[in-house]
Amino acid sequence: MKLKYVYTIVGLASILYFGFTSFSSSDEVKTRNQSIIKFSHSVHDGNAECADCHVNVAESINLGESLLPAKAECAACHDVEDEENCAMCHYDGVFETLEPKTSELMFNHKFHLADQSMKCEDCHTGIMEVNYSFESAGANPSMEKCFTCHNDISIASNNCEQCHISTVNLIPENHQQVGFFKNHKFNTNNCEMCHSQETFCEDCHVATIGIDETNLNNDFYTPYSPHKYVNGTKQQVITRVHDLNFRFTHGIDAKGKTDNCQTCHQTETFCAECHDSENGDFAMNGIIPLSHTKPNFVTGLTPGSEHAILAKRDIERCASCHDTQGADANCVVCHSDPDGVKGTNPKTHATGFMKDNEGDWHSDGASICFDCHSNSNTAGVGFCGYCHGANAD
Amino acid sequence: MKLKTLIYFAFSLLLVTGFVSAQNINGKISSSVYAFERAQSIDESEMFLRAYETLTLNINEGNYSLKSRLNFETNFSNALENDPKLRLYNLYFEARKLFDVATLKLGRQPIFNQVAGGLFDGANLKVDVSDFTVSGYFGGNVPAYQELKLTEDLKNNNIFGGEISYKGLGNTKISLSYVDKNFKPLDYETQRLDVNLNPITVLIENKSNQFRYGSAVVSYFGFVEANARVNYDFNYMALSRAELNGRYSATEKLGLNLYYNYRAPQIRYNSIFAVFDFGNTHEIEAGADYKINSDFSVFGKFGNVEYKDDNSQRFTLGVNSIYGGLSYRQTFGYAGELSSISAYSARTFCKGMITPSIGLAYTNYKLSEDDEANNIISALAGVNVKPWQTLSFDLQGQFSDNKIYKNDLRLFFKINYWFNTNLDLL
Repeated sequence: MKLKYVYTIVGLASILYFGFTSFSSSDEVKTRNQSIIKFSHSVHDGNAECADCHVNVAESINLGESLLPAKAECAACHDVEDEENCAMCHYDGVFETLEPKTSELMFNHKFHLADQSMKCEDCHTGIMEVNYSFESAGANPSMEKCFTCHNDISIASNNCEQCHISTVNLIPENHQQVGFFKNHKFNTNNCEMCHSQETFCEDCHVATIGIDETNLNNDFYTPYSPHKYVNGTKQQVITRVHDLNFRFTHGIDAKGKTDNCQTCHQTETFCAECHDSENGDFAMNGIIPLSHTKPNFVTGLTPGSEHAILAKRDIERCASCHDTQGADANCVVCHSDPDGVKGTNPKTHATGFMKDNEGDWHSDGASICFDCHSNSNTAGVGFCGYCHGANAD
Repeated sequence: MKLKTLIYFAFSLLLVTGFVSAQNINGKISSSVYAFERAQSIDESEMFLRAYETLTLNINEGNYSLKSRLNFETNFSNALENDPKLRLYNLYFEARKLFDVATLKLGRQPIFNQVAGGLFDGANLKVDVSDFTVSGYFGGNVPAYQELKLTEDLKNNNIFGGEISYKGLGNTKISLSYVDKNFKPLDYETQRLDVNLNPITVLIENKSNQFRYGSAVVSYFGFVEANARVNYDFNYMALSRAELNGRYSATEKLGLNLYYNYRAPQIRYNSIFAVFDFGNTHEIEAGADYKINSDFSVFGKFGNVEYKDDNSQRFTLGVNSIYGGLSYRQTFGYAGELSSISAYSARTFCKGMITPSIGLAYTNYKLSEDDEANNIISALAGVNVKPWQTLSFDLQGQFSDNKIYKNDLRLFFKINYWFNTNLDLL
């Protein structure tokens, strides 16, 4: 069978699968009891305590059991034997048992009520102002409420598995919206509710503006990605930041900046993980990209070299491999001006570069300028002559 | 007393007193092994079994905490020269609500704001007064591999900065931040030419002056959500980055997003690359997402990146659902040509005890117009088993097939354990 038929079949099967399953909306479940019985929490407000009707709650240790009132609880106040009164609560001919909502949570009511002395209204706010619980936005506690205790610092762990049966779909809605990846830095109000700063932010933002490792192939290893294996929202799922095939296609993203590699990787060192240098200076012996093999990549002293064009478009790509510690960048081999005669060497700077600027070369012998220019400390000689003396323009 | 000695002493004291009087101890342990084959050359390959051990431990008493996070890694076969490695990502003391306004952190800790990100060894003080939040930090760079030692050259390897934010303007928030991060490259000797064009050996001693950025951010949360950020590079006295991001909820289900980014390359101040004539990039992206129902949503986005004398485009279409995700991606222009479709699904059964997952992807790409096109098929299948609430196991197989790696299979196994104990000693 040709490969395209396989993909066609898989594609159609996926569409059917997602199509069928889309009809079962969880919204239907939570409103179903509305059609079984006429009920109003607000009418009962002041006439009964929560525990009078929800008698199982005080001893409940999981949400798998029904915590809704049974006929016996209603009978404590209502004359359920009087057939004249049936219509007050029941729709004509409907006498079904109330259906408890399914829950993706593990929760121990007994522990929170008895051991922690919490009250029903601490979590279920506004419920006595509506008829059915689903009509109240605060019927169930928000995660912000849980976080007041489940924060890793008070009395309870913030581990997702503490409360959630599964973490597979534990992703807030806004995280799946278009643009979230790029605007998440602006929305930092309550990230710590799910993500510990100590273990989450640094998984990606690892000192990208401070290079702190040497750059030899023995310093790195695939997969050096401990962040894939520490706790995040999807602890049970092995994190896949990139697609499985990304190692073969990352050149496209690296060039297109679509994923802005430097956000997560120290590009100056990260590349060496795979593009190793056979124990040598990475800048000189690393595996070269395809672009470097083109005949006009370096053309000596003539202008228009391919490498110059690429460097102008995105110089970070060059720096990611060549800006190594403890070694000259390849550029110095050609881009140097030891004779101090301006214009006789490969052009490095844009017109007017550092013009009228009191640059650091005046006071700092370690200035990067002296990687290419000779520091004669004498006006009119060498680099100093550019501005001070005979060779100045 | 030297700073290093003082910090070691403080940590030792905190560790002892922390364990003795702690009221809450919580943490997580993850152990994993990853088996794969690595090609050393066309004819030669080796099998590796790499192991990772990660521990997070928090000790709390009232408004005081001791937090730590470390990672141990090694190879059971074909060990690297510097195996095994112990990486200490965090070890710091935190005091909250000091004088009811301040939070102090001491030790190895993360710092994240608009201009700084990563770890440092030092102090961080944050004060909340009325609608203002002011923070400042200072410390040394973390050594390679997050080793448990402090920098021996704090003068040249340090970070300091701060942030001030104001949220007293209703829906608008403003913040200003600054970072000065210094890192001294290694000294080295190399051959150069003197003024007479004679080769000489010179010692290259780059000074430490790497990154100095300031940032201003304005965010508005109203009928639209809008954010603007500007980064200024104080070393080059130039605009380093500008971002605009806006999201508009057209209806309850439909959201529109627009993003613009101007970016200058982030090159170290004393790098030779900093002196070249280079271009900056402009990127714009627009997208929309639509929520079909509580279980399904679709999204699409299109982006364009402008380089100096060139550009590239990309677009993505996809579906997010409680059953998983499906997406199609296309990239073209200078960045290379790529078409990719991928699907991922995971569902939980038996009240969280078993969670199988599967992923499939097909990619066709070429890095530039003149290159040959390549195909990749990749797949993963795994299962998470959670027999107890605090203990779970992961097993995953990863498969990839393309012209470089034929039928490449990798295996991953992981054990997770977490704990939380209230001692109630006091």
